[in-house]
Amino acid sequence: MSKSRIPKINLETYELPSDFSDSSIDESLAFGSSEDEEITKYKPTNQKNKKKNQLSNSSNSESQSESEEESESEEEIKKKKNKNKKKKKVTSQKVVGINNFTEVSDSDSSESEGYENPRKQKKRHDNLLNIVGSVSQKGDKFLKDGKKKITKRGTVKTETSNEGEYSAPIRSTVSLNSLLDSIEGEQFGELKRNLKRDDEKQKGSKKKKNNNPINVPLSEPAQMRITRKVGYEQTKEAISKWQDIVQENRQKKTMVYPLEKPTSALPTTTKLVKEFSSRTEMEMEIDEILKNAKVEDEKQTTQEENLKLKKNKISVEEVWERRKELAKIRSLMFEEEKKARRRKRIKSKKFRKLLRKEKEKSALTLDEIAMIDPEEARSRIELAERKRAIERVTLRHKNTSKWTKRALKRGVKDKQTRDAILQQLKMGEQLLKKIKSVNSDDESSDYSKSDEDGDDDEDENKKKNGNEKDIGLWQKKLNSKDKKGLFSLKFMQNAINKNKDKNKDDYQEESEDGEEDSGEEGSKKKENEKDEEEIIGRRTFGFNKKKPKAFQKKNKKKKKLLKSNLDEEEKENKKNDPKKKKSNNSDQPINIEMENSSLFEVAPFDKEDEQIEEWNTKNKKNEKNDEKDQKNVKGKGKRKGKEKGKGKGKEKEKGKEKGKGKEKGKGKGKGKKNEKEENGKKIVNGKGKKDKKEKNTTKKNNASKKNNKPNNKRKKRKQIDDSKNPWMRGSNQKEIKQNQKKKRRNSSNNEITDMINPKQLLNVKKADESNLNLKNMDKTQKKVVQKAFPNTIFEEEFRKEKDEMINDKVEKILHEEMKGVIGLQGWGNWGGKGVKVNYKKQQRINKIKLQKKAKIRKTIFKNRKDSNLKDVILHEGRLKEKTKYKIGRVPHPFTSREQYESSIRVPLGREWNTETQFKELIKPEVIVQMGSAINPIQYALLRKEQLIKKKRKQQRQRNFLGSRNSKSKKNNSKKEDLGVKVD
Amino acid sequence: MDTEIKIISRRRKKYVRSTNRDINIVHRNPNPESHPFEQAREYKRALNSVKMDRIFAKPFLTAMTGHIDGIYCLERHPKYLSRVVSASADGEIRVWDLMRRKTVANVQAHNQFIRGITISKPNGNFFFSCSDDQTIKQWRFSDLRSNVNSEYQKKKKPISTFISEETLRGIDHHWSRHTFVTSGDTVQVWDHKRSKPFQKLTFGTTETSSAIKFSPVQKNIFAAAGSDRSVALYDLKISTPIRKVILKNQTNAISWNPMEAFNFTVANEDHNCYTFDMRRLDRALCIHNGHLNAVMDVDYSPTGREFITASYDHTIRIFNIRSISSRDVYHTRRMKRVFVAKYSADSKFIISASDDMNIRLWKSEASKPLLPVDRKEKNAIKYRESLKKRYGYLPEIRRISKHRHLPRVLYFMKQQKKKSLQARARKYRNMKMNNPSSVKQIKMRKRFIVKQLK
Repeated sequence: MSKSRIPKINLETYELPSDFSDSSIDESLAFGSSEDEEITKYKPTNQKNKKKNQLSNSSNSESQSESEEESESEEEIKKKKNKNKKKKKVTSQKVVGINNFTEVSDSDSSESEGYENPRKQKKRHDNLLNIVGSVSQKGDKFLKDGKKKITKRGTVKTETSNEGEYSAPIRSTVSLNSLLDSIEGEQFGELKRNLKRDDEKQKGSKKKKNNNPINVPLSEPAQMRITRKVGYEQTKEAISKWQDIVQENRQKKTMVYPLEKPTSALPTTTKLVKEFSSRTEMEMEIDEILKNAKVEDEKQTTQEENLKLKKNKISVEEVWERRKELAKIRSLMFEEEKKARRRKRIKSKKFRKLLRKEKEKSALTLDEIAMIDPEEARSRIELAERKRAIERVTLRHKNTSKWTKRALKRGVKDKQTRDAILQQLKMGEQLLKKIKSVNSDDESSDYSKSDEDGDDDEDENKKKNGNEKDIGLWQKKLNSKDKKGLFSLKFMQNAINKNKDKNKDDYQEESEDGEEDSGEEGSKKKENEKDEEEIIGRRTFGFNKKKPKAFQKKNKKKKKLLKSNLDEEEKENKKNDPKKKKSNNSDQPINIEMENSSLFEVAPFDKEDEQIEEWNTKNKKNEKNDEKDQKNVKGKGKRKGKEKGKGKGKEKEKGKEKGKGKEKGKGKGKGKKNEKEENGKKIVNGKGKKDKKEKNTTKKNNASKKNNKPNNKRKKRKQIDDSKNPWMRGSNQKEIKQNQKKKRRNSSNNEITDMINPKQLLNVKKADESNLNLKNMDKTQKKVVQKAFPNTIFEEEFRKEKDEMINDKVEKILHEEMKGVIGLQGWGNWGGKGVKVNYKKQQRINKIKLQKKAKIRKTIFKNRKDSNLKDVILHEGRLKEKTKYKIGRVPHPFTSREQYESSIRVPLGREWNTETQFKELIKPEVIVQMGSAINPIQYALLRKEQLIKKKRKQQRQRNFLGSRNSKSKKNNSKKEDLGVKVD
Repeated sequence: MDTEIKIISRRRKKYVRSTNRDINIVHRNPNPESHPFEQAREYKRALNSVKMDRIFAKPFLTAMTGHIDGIYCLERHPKYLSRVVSASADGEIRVWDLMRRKTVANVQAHNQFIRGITISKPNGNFFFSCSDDQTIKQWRFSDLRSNVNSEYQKKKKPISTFISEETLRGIDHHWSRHTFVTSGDTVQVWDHKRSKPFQKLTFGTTETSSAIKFSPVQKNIFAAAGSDRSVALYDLKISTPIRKVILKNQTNAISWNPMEAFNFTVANEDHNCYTFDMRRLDRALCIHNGHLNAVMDVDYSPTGREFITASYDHTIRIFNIRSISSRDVYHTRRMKRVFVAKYSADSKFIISASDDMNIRLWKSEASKPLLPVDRKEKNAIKYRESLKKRYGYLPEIRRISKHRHLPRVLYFMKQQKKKSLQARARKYRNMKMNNPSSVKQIKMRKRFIVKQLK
């Protein structure tokens, strides 16, 4: 029965008690083959035994009716079939005790009620007669045996009747034949013949039985015993249908519980509502409340709702219109959604950028907002101001962040970081700039300037700070004389003017305060202001202070180029142009600006920041320094150039150069300070500048000859640096390679020469060593290892170990053997101090010892399996350490050692298996779905599943065959469907 | 130097899934040389996992108090996992919510000892209790809510009461019909809607039976344990008893395997459990030993792979259906004689009721995590499990996995029992050696059976 798996394990067997050494334990276990065969004998499929079959069928049908309604009808069909097949026989008396028998006979009688086959009727009659006959015969038999004396029943008359025409005395049995004889006619000829044949047959077969009398009914206990016996057999049969299923389930590698698959369809709301019954306390309370409110019933609620609906009636047209509208909106929404979805999926950065810009453009400007909701606009302005203030305090964008600091410290090499830093600075600048404009709230000139000047470079930034721009615009509009709309109204203008005046006063006061407050710096600034006033133009703060001068000179030429500083330019221009000057409300804002500028000067800057700032401004604005400054720079550059030029040729003096560099750095710092003190202006430090800047300076000075040297030098330095840096190899590899080639050439030259010059030999060797490639390394390494660890050492050690092992054993045996020669130590000898040693005896003993030793050694060598194997030690005997990994006997489900070992052989882990294999291997025996009650196994369910599987299979086949024979097969499938239902 | 440098590079594509539905890429080096000593490594892993198992074995979850007398009956709901009904010797019935770990409803159902409790089967809307006062009461769950309105309080009475003419010792409900059976002087078959039993089944002689249990699979069959040390099988279909086996000791409880229709296990007074095949009652399929006192109850796991036993020796044991010795032993210092133990409907928990008036909740697998685990952890657990199974035969692993701490008293009892069994075996051996004719060779699995009544 057991289907063999690999490894073949007899899983069905139950574990045997380990601690009982009882050999008599039954080895053919519960599901052993012998038993199963026995069981299968009882299966109802055995149709030979019809009587039994009938019984079992009837019982089966009963059992099914209890549990499985579906299968009941099937059983009924079977029953009917059986009935049609069998000839009618009254079952023997032995089964009388069983209740079911009555049922069988009942069914028979019911059938006979329907219509009576004359043939059957006749047979029945014959049987009756036979039984009657047998009674008398049995009675005779009893009499003959003399066991019991029974009065003859035949003679007893129970009914008094007179002989006559209708009641003839029964002396001889009336046979059918005799009755039939009276019938004449050829029609019944065949019938007669058949009857005769039947009669003869029955007579022949039942002659013996007819002789027996009816058995005496059994005693009740005996009857019960029989019922029990038969009942037991029946239940056995009935329950044996599970045999295969149980076997199958036991052999399954994994079982998933619960067995019934969860229904894929979620329960419908109606179903849920139907099944709902309040379980928790709260639910019950709610139930009660609903009951009281009389909205418990659905009908009630709908009625009420309907009533309410009736109150507000709408015409049909209105409904239609509404509907249309809704449909339109829906479709629009859908379209929009679609569009949005598509847009959302676009990954193009460019597109995103455009989108953002568009958004910014389309965003409500501040004045628009102001028109709609002035409060909102005000709050926005406030927000923007706050932002600026924060920027002022924190200087977040002034290279204060750790990252920028570090980047600057290391020297910004790649473009990305540089750009990022620039960006940041730009933003900071922007913010700061705006602060000015905000602070000079009333000074429309500022705004007008900044607004009118389209700054292409800063476009993006401006858009980012769109609100800030808006603020300016809005305020400008507020200030503008030719106002429209709301602002054109008189009272509005009055109010605005009032505000303006107030603000002006405030500012003036502030500026005066500011002048008083600022001490030394203030005085300095005053000087500067004077200068500035002479120059006329807008002041810039921080490092750009001197720029205006430069601009003044080359303003016209480079107007277009100096984009980032356009604001300033414009201002200057406007100040230069009298026409534009008029547009400015006053000069005061400039002063105020200057006052305010002191604030920013105070703002702390790191040196590095300064550097970067300088560098930024340089790069950005392509600005030129004062000639003085430039001269300074040039001078420095010259000096350095000379120094570098000196050092250039000597490659070995890198260290020195570095030292110089440091010195320069120091010098630079000092210089800066000095220059600052002197000029109160920013000085660009030649050394601190990056290549570009220096190039600029060199270009301007046309001092190419001088500056070439440092440039070249820098190149070389770079090379050196790069050669150290593995990441930069790509760029300078050529040069490096060339260098290496040169080196090699040199070395090869040396090789040629070394034949002659022994001094150079050493050098050559060194070169060779240094030129060792990785490929060569492998071989050489091996040699080295070989040299370092010669085999002999291992071999010797191994031999020693082996020898020791053998010697130990020899010693042990010798010790035992010598006991016989010497006897127990300390016995038969004097011991203690001063005892003379018997040398002769000892010599003798030693001799024996040696002899024995040799002998033992020999025998051991003979016996050992590894004595001929030079490089092997074979451990004979049990190793205690390894007992952990050994099992005394083959474990229970396995039948042989090989089987067990093969089960272990393939590893389970991820390292040795593919993922799918691994998952298959680690599948547990039982999987229980979380939180689900496991119901007992159900036969009907299993049957259903089987049928469904069958159906699916057939369907697949059908699909495969194609559509030609589809008609007939559809019919089949319909039948199958019916079959499923019947089951 | 012209040496090549291999830069460590990772391509996102190679280790990141493009979509969530994509398979997880597992990087594996298939070269067997890079994974040597597979057996040794896996053995070590198995050893570790066995040790971990013992470390994390914390089966006891909670004890629920409420009853004021020993609890003799306990039944779990067929549908709701957390619902359990218990009855104590003082006639009180309590309905428990295991999730909240407290009583949901309670009622003083009888004035005397409640002998049995059973829940109506397909839907579990009702339950029945039978008592020494010769009544069976039918209760509806929803009527028994405690501390709800007075209206509901009034309802705290049985739907119907059945009065029996005989003593009642046990009760069990049919698995699909509105029928239940009671054991006592005779086995009575009742219907929900009839006040009198519509059938009485006996083996001819009067014998009281105690435990009674319907087969959950072949639903017309039920088994009853009699006071004449018998286990009798009945068939409702032909409404007769069909077979009876008399054992050497009395049987306290019976449980049918819910997945293997013909197998059932009986809990015996002789400290053992016996699994029978209904079709061959002349011998047991398996003898399960390990308890040190009478086994009071036995219940199959809904998976049909294991069963639990509750014993008079203050312990619960979990057996594999095919193994002699138990897989695990549960005990606490405060738990006294355990009268009932039941599996939860999802086979993950064990509920035990004992003499100390407490109901205890245990995990059926002591070291398994209760909370849902991550996919990776799940796989790891599975892997460990399969390793344990594979190397479980090796002595070291076997020793660790089998070792269970027993209370001092039980430990000495165990030693004693071992000695006595050894002595018996020795005696048997000697008798067999010296006087073979005096010794009847009976198979181990038949020894405890006295006879079969047909």
